[in-house]
Formats: sequence, structure tokens, C-alpha cells
Amino acid sequence: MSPPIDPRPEAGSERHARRTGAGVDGIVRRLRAHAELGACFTTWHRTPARPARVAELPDLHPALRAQFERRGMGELFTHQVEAIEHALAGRDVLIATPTASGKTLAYTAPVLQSLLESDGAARSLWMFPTKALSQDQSRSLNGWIEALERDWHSYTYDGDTPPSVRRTLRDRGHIVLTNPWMLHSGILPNHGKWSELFRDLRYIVIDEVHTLSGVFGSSVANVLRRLVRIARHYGSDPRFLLSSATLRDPAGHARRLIGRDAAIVEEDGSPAGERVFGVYEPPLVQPVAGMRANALEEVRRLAPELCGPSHQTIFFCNRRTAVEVLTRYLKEAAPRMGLLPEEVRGYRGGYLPLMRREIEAGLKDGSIKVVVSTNALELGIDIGALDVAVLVGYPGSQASFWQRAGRVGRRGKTSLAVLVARSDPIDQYLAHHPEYLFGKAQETLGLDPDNLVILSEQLKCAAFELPFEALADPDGSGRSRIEGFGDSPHLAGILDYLAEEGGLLYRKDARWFWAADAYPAQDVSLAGNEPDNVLVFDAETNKAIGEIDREHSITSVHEGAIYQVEGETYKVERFDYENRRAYARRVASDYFTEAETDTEVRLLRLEEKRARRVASGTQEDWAVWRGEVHVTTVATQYKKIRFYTRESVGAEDIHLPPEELDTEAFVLTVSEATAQTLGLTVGNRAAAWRGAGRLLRRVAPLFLRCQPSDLGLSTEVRSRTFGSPAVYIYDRVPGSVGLGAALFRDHREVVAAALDVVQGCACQEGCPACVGPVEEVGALGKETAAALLGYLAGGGELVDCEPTLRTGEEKADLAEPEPLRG
Amino acid sequence: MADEELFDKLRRLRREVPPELGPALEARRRAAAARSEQAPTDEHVARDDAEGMPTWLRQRLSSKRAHGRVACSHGVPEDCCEERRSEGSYLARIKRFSGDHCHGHFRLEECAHAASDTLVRIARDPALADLELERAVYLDIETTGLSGGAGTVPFLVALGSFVGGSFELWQGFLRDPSEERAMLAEVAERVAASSGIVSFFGKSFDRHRLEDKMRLHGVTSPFVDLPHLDLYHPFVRLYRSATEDGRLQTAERVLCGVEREDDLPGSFAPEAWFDFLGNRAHRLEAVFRHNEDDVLSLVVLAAHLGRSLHETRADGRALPGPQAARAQGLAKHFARVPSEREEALLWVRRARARDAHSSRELRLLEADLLRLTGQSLAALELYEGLRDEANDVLALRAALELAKLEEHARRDFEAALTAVAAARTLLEVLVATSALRPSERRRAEAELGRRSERLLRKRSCESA
Repeated sequence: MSPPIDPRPEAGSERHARRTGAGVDGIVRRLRAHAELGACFTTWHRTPARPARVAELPDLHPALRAQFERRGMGELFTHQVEAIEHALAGRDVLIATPTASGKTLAYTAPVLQSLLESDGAARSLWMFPTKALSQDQSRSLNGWIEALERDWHSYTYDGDTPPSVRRTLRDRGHIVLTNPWMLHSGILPNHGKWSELFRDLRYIVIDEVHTLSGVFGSSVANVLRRLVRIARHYGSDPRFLLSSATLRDPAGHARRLIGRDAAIVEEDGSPAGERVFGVYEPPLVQPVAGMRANALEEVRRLAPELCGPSHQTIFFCNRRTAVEVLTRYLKEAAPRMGLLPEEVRGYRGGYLPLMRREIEAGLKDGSIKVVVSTNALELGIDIGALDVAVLVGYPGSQASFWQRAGRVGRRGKTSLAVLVARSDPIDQYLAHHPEYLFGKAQETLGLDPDNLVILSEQLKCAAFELPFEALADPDGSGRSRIEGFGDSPHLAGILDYLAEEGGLLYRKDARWFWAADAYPAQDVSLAGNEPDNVLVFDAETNKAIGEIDREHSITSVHEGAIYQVEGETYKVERFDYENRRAYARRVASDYFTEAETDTEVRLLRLEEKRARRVASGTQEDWAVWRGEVHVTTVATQYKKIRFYTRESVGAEDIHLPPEELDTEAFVLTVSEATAQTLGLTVGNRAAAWRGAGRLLRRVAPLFLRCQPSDLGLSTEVRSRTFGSPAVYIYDRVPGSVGLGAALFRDHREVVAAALDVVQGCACQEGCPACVGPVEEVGALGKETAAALLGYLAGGGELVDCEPTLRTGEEKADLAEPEPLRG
Repeated sequence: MADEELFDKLRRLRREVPPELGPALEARRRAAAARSEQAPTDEHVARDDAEGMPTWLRQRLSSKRAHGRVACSHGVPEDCCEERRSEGSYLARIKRFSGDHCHGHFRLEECAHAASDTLVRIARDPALADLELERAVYLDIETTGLSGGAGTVPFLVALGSFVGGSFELWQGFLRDPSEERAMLAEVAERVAASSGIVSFFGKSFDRHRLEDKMRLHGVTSPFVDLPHLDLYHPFVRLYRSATEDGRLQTAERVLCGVEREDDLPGSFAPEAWFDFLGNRAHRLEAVFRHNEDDVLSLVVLAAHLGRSLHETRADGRALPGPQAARAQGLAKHFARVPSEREEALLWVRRARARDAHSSRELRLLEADLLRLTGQSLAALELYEGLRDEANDVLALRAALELAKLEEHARRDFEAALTAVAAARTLLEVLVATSALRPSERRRAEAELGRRSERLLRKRSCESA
């Protein structure tokens, strides 16, 4: 509850005084001149205003053309025109331009054109990553349709659509707006009911395709294969209209996602006001440990400079609790900023829809001056343009960064975005390398629709929908082929597997039919292995109190573990491993538990290798590898650690089966001689080696769209396989979605970034923002890791090599599991 | 990658064979395997090629098989002939029954005497006026599952109809899923040629399974314009209170005296067809018979339900089945529509006459109907009895109605206030014994509060 407010600020009050500020330019001037805060800005970057580039309307139906003109759009931005022309020419299109550049219009026009040309026969299917977005779009589409005075209908089909509406929607929905989950489990498996939609499906519109990566993206790519297969069954051949944020390799992403080449539109023709960008690095509070002030506290100090009654400011936090804390701070501080507490609002998932709509409206009409949000306001919900954005920590990806920063910038006015860096390697890197953000897109999206686990699960769903048939020799190569589901050479093999081992399919000659009493889409998740998750129950009430994924279960809900939920502590009494359930009893515990694991990576097959030779001879200096690996993780023991003091009060063994994972890894090895030269001598080398590996893993998301936790790490000072020190960084998705390959390709950039972080870090002997605290890496850890990374970053080029180990016996070695320690 | 290598990799990745289990798990798995091997298997039941199947499937099947004692056979079911159309071929079995064939206690031809207006009224569907039972198709299908969706196959479709004086049962059967389109085209033609469809739960299930598949195959659906009598709903309305469930087999037994021998439950149908597809010993013969029995039951059940209001068969004999339940069901059914309240009252009285210990609920219904048809005094008397003989929710309802009647019908405010007081006492008792849901309690309290306030006002006006 907000405290009561005096509604009329007096003249001469803070509010009155602040009304006359000189806008964003004034804020920047004051910040730069500020005695304390000014010095903490490591960088200021100014992007000049950019005028609009426009072109004439494409050749559209007269009725549609008239609508454009009536809306004052006799000309469109160049990228919109380009995209519409590609679509009208029957090409798949990907528009990869920044937020708010008018992408929606570029796919609305061809869809309406197809409806006009076909006299209402054409259908289209639109997919959005969130429900709110699809409802926003539905409203805007209906606006166009009403203006065109046609009896067409656009409907949102999601979990909230009442059954009574569903039938109408199936038979009479010209434009169906939905999401990947409904498509996967509702529409496609029941395509008979949706035959009206599929009979003349012209366009498949997918918004924000940069969110389609990893397991989810790879699954969705298969859902799209299913969609196209079904459309073809009903005789239509839909085109894709895709939109995304700016991407590093838009053509490659589109190809992996839809399985064919799309025309790429990435030259943004929309205008932009001047933008100022600053990075704020919290001051050092403990120079030896390199510890900096807490980012949230610093935001509190910055807020009076950034908020005020004559402009709007948005704060982005990465966690929900941070939103609540900061909102409270800012409400309390409101009077000092010349604001009323109700002009400051929080916004996040979990708020009631009505409240969210009210806040969105308040932002649009300017009555709310400050909003603190999670990523909930990152995606295209319409809140109008604001003036100042403050990012508390880097959001983890360039696209998210730009979507957050893109919330500010009104036409003809300067806008400001401030990144407040946390004690995190990536934030530290960005504090000193803003060019990373302003240069071209850097991240690779991991997407592999042919990942065997995902592909085989999706083939189940696809076979349920329509039978598969292998054509005898479609391309004259002498081999039979299954068409319309990508290029994996394993399609027939997987179908046979599902028939013979799974008992799910029936094979007759070269055709496979679904033959089981089941509805596979129900059990196949788009996001990964949820059925394997462990449910945590309160042993007293038998109510579920939490859920944890398979791989983390062995370290967090083993017997004796302290499981924490919103500040309450529970002690796990029993872990029913087989049935994926853990039972915990509420206790007042003064300690928490931390499990130790032993991870072993066994090489199954090497795919690629690049190495550098020592300048003087033929000997190998260091090398990077890519290969298939089998990872075994065993939880060995757990420590009981007292809250606050972190004093260890005991340790016990954990007895659980090992966690197994087959995936792809990037491996870095350094020859024994080089290791000696670099001072990776016995004693500190394990710690330094591990510190370097950890840093590589943590900066990798600068170049791969993923979280550090999506990557597994294992370091060996003397690898039995390679006979030298080795760092394995592996994709944690079973079967991999391509992160290992991307790391192999980009390892030079990753090493350079890691080196930058360790060199630029203010700490003396290692800290959490670089190689790790000195307690973990040892007194010489930082220095040694820096020398190692420096060595790897400098010197000559690597050359491609045959990916084999030096001697001949390793083949046998590879198959032999090495015993685990502990 | 060779197939075996790929299979190995898939097993590992899909975690279908846990690669290295812990010792505790391994022991548990061995124990489970040992248990399943000891499971009794009789000769008819043993599958010849069980070895080739995954353990989980074998275990699931063998546990199911313990129920049935139905013989297995190999290959195509007997008496099936191939039918060909331009869309392809499939199998069909045609069986004829004479009109006087008895299914349970009923002859098939008795459905000619079902009264059309009875069916219209108990099914509440005016379209049924156009349905002639002698020209209808009796539809029942067997599918590979209940979930619906494109992968659920209606592998056996039975359509029964009267041809001349006899009843012809056509069962279309798929030798494999690729024959679906051709058979559905035939089904669509046969249904379209009829005057309507008779099914049990078919409006919710069979029709949609067929229709979805027809749309998938580009076959025009015949269902849209035809009347459809779904016997499930009238059966449940009339007899649910006297039967253990709402299944067809319960209906046919209780109403028509049908006793099936060696019936294979419908839930075994998918497995039988999958066994057939996999070239294993199967129990399709039993599935065909089960499906045939279902269709014959549709005919006699329609004959029975079509005489519900007469309560006699065409020859004057009494209609079998639980009479009290029927009267009660009809009473409740008619009570829902204002114009049918007089008739509802008639059936309530019959129900009470047939069951000396007729429920308080039924008497409350009678009282309500009396009140609604303007017979306030009679209603008052009944309500009083209901209120005074027990302390339950029904008594409270009666008490509340009494207060209402005293106030509005008799306009005796003193008596109404007394009734309010009685209702209050009753409410307290019920609250004390936790016999009321909180929402019921709040509603009753609010109503009593409003009423007593108004009554006190009215009384003071009157005295003034």
C-alpha cells in the first residue's frame, strides 16, 4: 500500500523545480559533472539521430492502398517495402530489424493482400511467443479488417479460448493467432478439425524468431516441419513471414528454422532520435578482493538523477524480487525526485492482467513516470516510447539488451540508456567494451532440429498426424529418401526404431503408420525433459512445494539436503529416485547444504581439430577440438554450511546413481611443454586451469545465445585421453543443439574476451567477476590464468588437423570407461 | 551410422535403456523382472513372439491378458470379403438377422413401434421427428484409442440397417491404416443414404472420430444434415438413479435383458488390432462380436426407450426395467420445462406410488411442482411434512419455501414470521452439525434476514 499523498505539490517544491529540467540532455550533463557518480561511468556513447528512409508503396490492391493512404502511410520505410515486395513475389522473408521499426506492418500487408485477392479464401496462421502479444496483434488486425469493410475474422486460439468459440474459429478464422504450444499439442494433432485452415493456408507468420533457439527453438523448427507437411497434405504451400531482432546470421537461422532459404531484410529504414548510452561501474569497496558496490544499491543512488516529473524512466531488473525491492526504494524516494509514489510502479509476470493493462495504459498516457520491470516489458507490448532506460545488469543477450534499451527514444528527442554493471565477467567486459553492443550482432543461436532426441520425439508426433513414406529413389542417387522432414540421414532409422523398439509405429513396405493408443503431443514437451523433473513434496502435508530438473536433482534433493523455498528451509528425508519424487520436512535449519560432484567426460568420437604448432618445430603447442562425449556426473558428498558465517559444520556422503549425458563438447588442450612454460606447475595448476575454464564458460554467452548454465564444464590437469591438460565445455542438452560447434568456431573471440576480463579486473588475486575468488583459484591463480589466456590469445594462426589422437590405441581407450574418483 | 549403432545411440539418448544404473536400482529392476516372469499365462493367452517386444510393453500386455479368456486367432478375421472402390479397398463382413431375432428380451423389429414423439421428447431434439428407426443406420465404431486426433484410427465401423424384413449388419474393417480413406468413403455413402443415425454416446465420440477423419481424407461428412438419436442421454436421464453407471452394457442388461457371453471389453480393441497389424495372434474375432452386440443393443434399446411414455410394449406387455426410477427420471426431465410441469407432476405421483419409501427429494420436487402450478395449499402441507420430519438440507429448503408461501400466497405475515423463526432454528442446528456448505449457509442467512425485515415492515404497516 502506498502512503497517502498530498496531491498538490507546492510551487517551489522539488516537483516544481524539476519540471524545468533540460530533458535527457540535461540529465546527461548533470551526471557527467556529478562529483561521485560521474567518475563511475566508464563509457559514454552517442548515436546521432537518423532520418527515415522511405519508399513508395508496393503494388497493392486498391482497397488496401487506400487504407494505407488514409492512415497517412503513402510511403513506407524502405525495409517494410522490401519485405512486402519479397512476400508478394512468393518468397519466404525474414525481417531482422530492431524493435519498433514497424515489422508488424510488413507482414500484415501481404496477408491482407492475399485475402483481398482471393476474396476471403486465403488463410494465415500467426505465432507469437507470448499470449499478450497475440492479443495486441489481434486487435490491430481487426482494425484493418474493419476499415476494409470485409467479413473476415481474426481469432486468438490459446488455452483460454472457450470451447464454444473454437469451432467457429476453426471453420471461419481467416487469421488464426496462436503460440507454438497450441500448435504443437492442439492444432496439428487434430488437423482434421482444422482442415478449413489448412486447405488454403498462404502464410505462416512468426514473430520474434530470435527467441527460437536451444531445445525450444529446435523443437519449434520440427513443429514447423509438421505444419508444412500437413498444409501440403491439404494441397497448400504456405510461405513464411518471419521477424526478429537483429541477428548475427539471419540467413542461417532462417534456414535451420524453416528448412529453406528466406529473403533477408535487415537494412532498417525507420528514423531514430539521438541516443546516449552510458555504462556505470559501481565503485570498488574492497580493492584487494575486487569487490564492487551492489548494483541495486547503486541504482538507488542514481535514481534521483534519472527520474523526474517531466520524463519517463524504466528500470529493468533480471529477477522478480529485485523488481519488488527497487520499486519500494523508489516509491519511498519519490518525493525527493519530485514524484508522487503512485507515479512509480512495479511490473512483472504474476501481476493480475487487469493491473498490468492499467500500468501499460498509464505508461502510454504519461501518468506513470517510473516503472520497474522484469523482462515482462521487454517483448513488444505497446507502452509507447519512454525517455530513460536503466538496465540493472546485462540481460544475457544482445537481443534482450536492445529490446530493453529500445523502450526509449521518442521521435526528435534524445534518449538515454544506462547499463549498471554487476560483478559478473560479462558485465565487466561490457563496461570496457561498449563497441560489442554497438557493433554488429555477435551471438550465434544454437539451433539443431536434427538433434536425435528432439527429432525422434517430434517424429512421434508427426507420425501420429500423417504416415511417413520413403520414396524409392527420388534424386537418382540410388538411395531411398523421406521427404518433407529435413535432411537428417537418420529419418528412416528413427522411424524403424520407433516401430521396433517403441512399438509405436507400424511399418508396411516403405510406409510408417502411427499404431498406438496414445496422443504423443501430450507427452512431448517443446522445452526439454520435463517428465524427468523431480517433484518435491512436503512430507507432512504431502503437497508439492517445488520442482527441480533431472540433472540438478542429485545435488539439491539428495537425502539430507536442505531445500529452500522462499526463505523456508526443508530437510529432504527421502528421495524416491525412480519415481522422481523427493519428500522434505520443514525444519528450522541454521545451515544450508552444498553438494560436490565429480564429473567425467569420456570422448566418444572426435569430429574436428585445429592446432597451433610451436614456432620452432613440428610439435603441437595447443589445440581445440570438437567431438561427441559421454558425461557422467556423480554427486559425491555434501557439506553443511552455516548461514552467514559460511562455517562448515560437517559433511556426509551422497548415494545416488550417476547422471549420464551424451552430447557434444568443445575441448581445449595445451601441450605439456607449454603448460610448463606458462607456470602451470604442480600445486597451483589445477586451480588456475579451472579458473581459466570457468571464465571461458562464463563469457561464452557473449557469442552464443545461451546462459552459462546451459554449458557444462570439466577440467583435467592431465587428461588420460589427451595426455595433457584439457578443458571440456559441453552442451548440456542431451544430443546437443550446437553450442559445442559454435564454441569451436568462435573460440578465439571467447578467449580474447576472457583475457580482457581478467586483465581489466580491479581485483588483485581473483574475484567472482573474473576467474573466481582467491579461496578457489589460489594466490597465483589469477596471474597464471591471465598468462595462459594471454598466451592462447596471442601468436600465430591455428590450422586444421586430422581429428585423431596421436597414438593408435586410443580407439580402444575411448570405449573403456574410466573409473570415477570418490 | 548403421542401424544398430543408431538404435544404441537412441536408446541411450532417449534414456530408454538406462546406461548404468546404481546397484540399488538394478536390484529392484531384477526383482520386478522376476515377478513378471512368474505371472500366470494360459495357453490361449501366451503370445508366440513375445520375445521381440520391449519389456514394458510385454509387461503391460501380459497383465491385461490375465483378465480375458478369449481365444486368439491369426490372420484376417473370418467371413470378411474385400470391398473395392475407386479410393481403394478394405474388408467388410456382412451378417443378416431376421426381424424376429431376439437380442435379450426384445425382437429387433420391435423398434418399428417406438413412438417418434416419445423419442423427440425424451431426447429433447425436434429434428428426431424425421428419424424413422426402420430407415436409420445404427452406428458403432472401434478405434485405436479414446483420445481422438489424427493418429486415432477407427479400424472397425459397424453400420446396421433394416433391409426388407431383416436387419443387415455391415462391419467395415481396415487391414492397415492406408485403407482408411476408402472405407470412410463407403461409410459416408451408407450413412448419407439413411434417414438418420442411432448411436450410444456417438454424438460425443463416434461421430467426431469419423468426421475428423473424413475431413482429413477429403470425404464429405454425411452427419451435418441428418437427425442423430444418441441413446446415452435419454437412458441416463431416465434410469441413471437406478443403475451403477451409464454404459451401454448396463443399459442393455437392465432394460432389455441382454446378457453377453465372453465379452471382450472395448478397451482391449486397440491391442487386438495392433496385434493383427504386427502379425501376431490377436483377438479381433472377439472385437467383431463385441461391436456386433453393441449395434444389436442399439436397436433394442431404441425400441425400449421409444416406449418410455407408454410404459408398455407394442403387444401390451409391461415395459421391463426399473419403473420407479423411470417415473422419477421422467418427472425430473419434464420439471425443467414450464409447459411440461403438469406432466411432471403426474410422473412424480407415479414415482411415489411405485416406491413407498420414496425419497424426500422426490417429495420436495412434488411440492415445488405443486407450488409452481398454483396449488399452494397442497404444496404447503408437503413442505411442512418435509421440514418437520428431519434435520437436513432439504428440510431447510422446505422451511424457506414455507416462509415464502405464507408471505406471498397466504399473505399471513404472522405465520410467515413463525416460519422464518422455524427456519432460523433449523439453520442453527445444521450449522452446529456442519451439514451446510458455507455458501449455502450464507445464502440462507441472507434470505432469512431480508424476509424477516420485510415481514416486520409489512406487519407494522398492516397494524397501522
